[in-house]
Amino acid sequence: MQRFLIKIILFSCPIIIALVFGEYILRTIPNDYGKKRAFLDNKSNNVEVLFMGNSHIYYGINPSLMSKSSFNAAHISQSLNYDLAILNKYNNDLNSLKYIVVPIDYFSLYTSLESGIEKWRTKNYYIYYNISKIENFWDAFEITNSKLPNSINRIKKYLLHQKNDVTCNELGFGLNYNSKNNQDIVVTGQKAAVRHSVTMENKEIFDENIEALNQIIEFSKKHGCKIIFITCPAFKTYRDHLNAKQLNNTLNAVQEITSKNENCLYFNFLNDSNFVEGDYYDADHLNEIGAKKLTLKIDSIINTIQ
Amino acid sequence: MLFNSLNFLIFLPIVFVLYWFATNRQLKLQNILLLVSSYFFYACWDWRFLFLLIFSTLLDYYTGIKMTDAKHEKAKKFWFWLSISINLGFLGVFKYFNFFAESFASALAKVNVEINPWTLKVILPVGISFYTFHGLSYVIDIYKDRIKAEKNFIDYSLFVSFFPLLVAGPIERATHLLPQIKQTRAFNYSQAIDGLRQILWGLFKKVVIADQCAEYANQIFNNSSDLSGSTLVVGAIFFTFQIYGDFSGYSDIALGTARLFGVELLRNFAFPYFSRDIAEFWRRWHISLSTWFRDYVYIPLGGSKGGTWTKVRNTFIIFIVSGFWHGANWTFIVWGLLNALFIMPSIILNTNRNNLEIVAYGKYLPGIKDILSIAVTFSLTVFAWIFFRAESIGHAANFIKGIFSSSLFTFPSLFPIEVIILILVFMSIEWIGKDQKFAIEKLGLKLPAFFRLGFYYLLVIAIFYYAGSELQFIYFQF
Repeated sequence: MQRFLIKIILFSCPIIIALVFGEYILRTIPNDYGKKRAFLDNKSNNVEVLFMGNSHIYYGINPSLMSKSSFNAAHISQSLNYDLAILNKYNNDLNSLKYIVVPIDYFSLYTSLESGIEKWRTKNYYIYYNISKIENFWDAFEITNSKLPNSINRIKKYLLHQKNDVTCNELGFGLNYNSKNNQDIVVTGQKAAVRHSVTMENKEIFDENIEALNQIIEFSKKHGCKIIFITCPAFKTYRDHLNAKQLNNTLNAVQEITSKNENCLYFNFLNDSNFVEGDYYDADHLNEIGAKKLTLKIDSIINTIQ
Repeated sequence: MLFNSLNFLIFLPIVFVLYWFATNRQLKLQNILLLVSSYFFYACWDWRFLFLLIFSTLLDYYTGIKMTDAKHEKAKKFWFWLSISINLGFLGVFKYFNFFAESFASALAKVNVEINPWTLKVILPVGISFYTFHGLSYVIDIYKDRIKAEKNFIDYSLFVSFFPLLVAGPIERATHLLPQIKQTRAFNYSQAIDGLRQILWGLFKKVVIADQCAEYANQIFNNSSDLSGSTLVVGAIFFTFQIYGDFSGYSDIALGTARLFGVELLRNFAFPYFSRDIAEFWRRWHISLSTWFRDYVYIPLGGSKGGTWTKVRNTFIIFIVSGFWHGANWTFIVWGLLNALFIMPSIILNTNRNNLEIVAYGKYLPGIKDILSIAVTFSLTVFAWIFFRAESIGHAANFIKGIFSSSLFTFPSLFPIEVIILILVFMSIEWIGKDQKFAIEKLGLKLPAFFRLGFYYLLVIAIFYYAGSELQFIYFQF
């Protein structure tokens, strides 16, 4: 038995060392999560307008165009429970906060980060935000949440070419969806609509999201700030493939919540005709041109309600 | 809990250490530990169905004792049929109820009677076909006086629920596994090393071969109407390797894991794609199920004793039942039927036992005749797998229609070289190790440790490299 165990340990050692080393390197590569956390750790005290949410906000809001001090705390596929978790983490620091902008899109109330194909992103919140929302021990590691070729590629790019994983600017605006690289708006519309439509309604997730929204509202009341719910603009090729029931339920729910809470406002840009084809990177994401339009619209709304 | 999951990577060493250090050489404790671990392993999937497993175990345990103790044949028969009907009843309800309800409704619809069938909204308990067959073989063996009932409930429960075989076999026999469970097991170094080697090979088959093939097979089967004939052939071949890598990989991990605990399970695969005829294929594919059907269906029906007609009838029956065992869908039944048709010439001509030994035993290369026979057998198998994989008979029919079109002679639109190279490397290793119990059992044992270990590290690297989402094993759904 002793011989067996020694052999196993010796055989496993190089593998374990390689995995630990890989994990260490991957964690040292700068990324959006670490960058946004660093900003919030140091400057959240000055933030007046905080943008939460998913990729629609991440690529759709450029805080540098806002007249008030703003920050984009959105991440790709970030669901409402993670918006809430980030707000709670900085509960004691967001002393200048006046507005929280939260997107309620077609899928916002029907999905959560943990339940979808983007679940692998949950490790980012655990590792870089120190938010312990992971369900499984293995969700806490870089190495166990991405394919080995991807990890090797990231390490290679970082060590050999000094390329990191940061894709947002200082204020958290995503820079990758540039108008020079606009995608096929027809194909992406259909695909995204299918991806965002739930085949089987999960009441538990819906209720959890409503609960998260209510807690975000509680948070805002405690901080004496307003919440602006928005439904982000999307191109016709996306809108045409949406499930009417899912969309109506979502819009009704956010309207109901808004009507019940004085400090909440809701603006639906989904069908906004000011956004034209050239504003979209793909059918449901704005490029930097569209982002400018949306940011200025929200800035104008804030200035008006002020 | 899946064998290819990280949780299993934690679970297995913990059980192993407890087994050999905390309960070493104390049979009762060893068996209790294995049983508790097995129930935990099963509960990780869905704890609610653990009660069904325990109930099924209790039923067969109790009826087994009642049969052994019965003083009259009538009482014995009563307990026997009680067990059989409840076991098959559970299987029927969970696995086949909806199929029968929907098939009945479609049959009525053909004569213009429209009914809305009442169906069950229940998921299939994982492993139900496997543990039910364990129980059935045990009860039948007692009824036929081949064995006596097991009086120790822990031992019997472990026979049914031993975690390596619980969810997808091999389908064990009481005569083979129970004596091992009742015997004190001492640690055996070479058995444990062999076990690890087999686990490694099983993981390679699952993660590197099956899951990579699955990606393309799924893509091709899901979009079959838009693809060329040649691409559909590629899809069918990929599925052929997917199901082999998946199921034989699972079996290798199961056998290897059992070996770590000093238990030898029945061999389930013996290089089936090197078979020279369909009869040989079925002696090498899912062996524990084929022999189960042989012993508990084919032979009781008269086997091959009643002349050619009886043989033909019984062969059709076991293949159709075997197809139906795989799932409640006409596609599985047609798959079984096709295999029965393919095997028929050798049954009628009495040549079904011509190829008992592995092809080119002890040789590096096969003869021309063997190559041709293997190619024909492989092609027939690929053809049959189309029905196994298709969503419906219509889907399979359109898939086959798509193959036999003019686009068969065009270059496939999906032709992933990397996966094809992986398959070639895999089959080469299988060929080199075909005389052994599993391909890498003795591979490189005579070489210096550097090369041998280098090979194992290559396998590990390949597994990590290709590991992605933990794809479930195909046979879990059966």
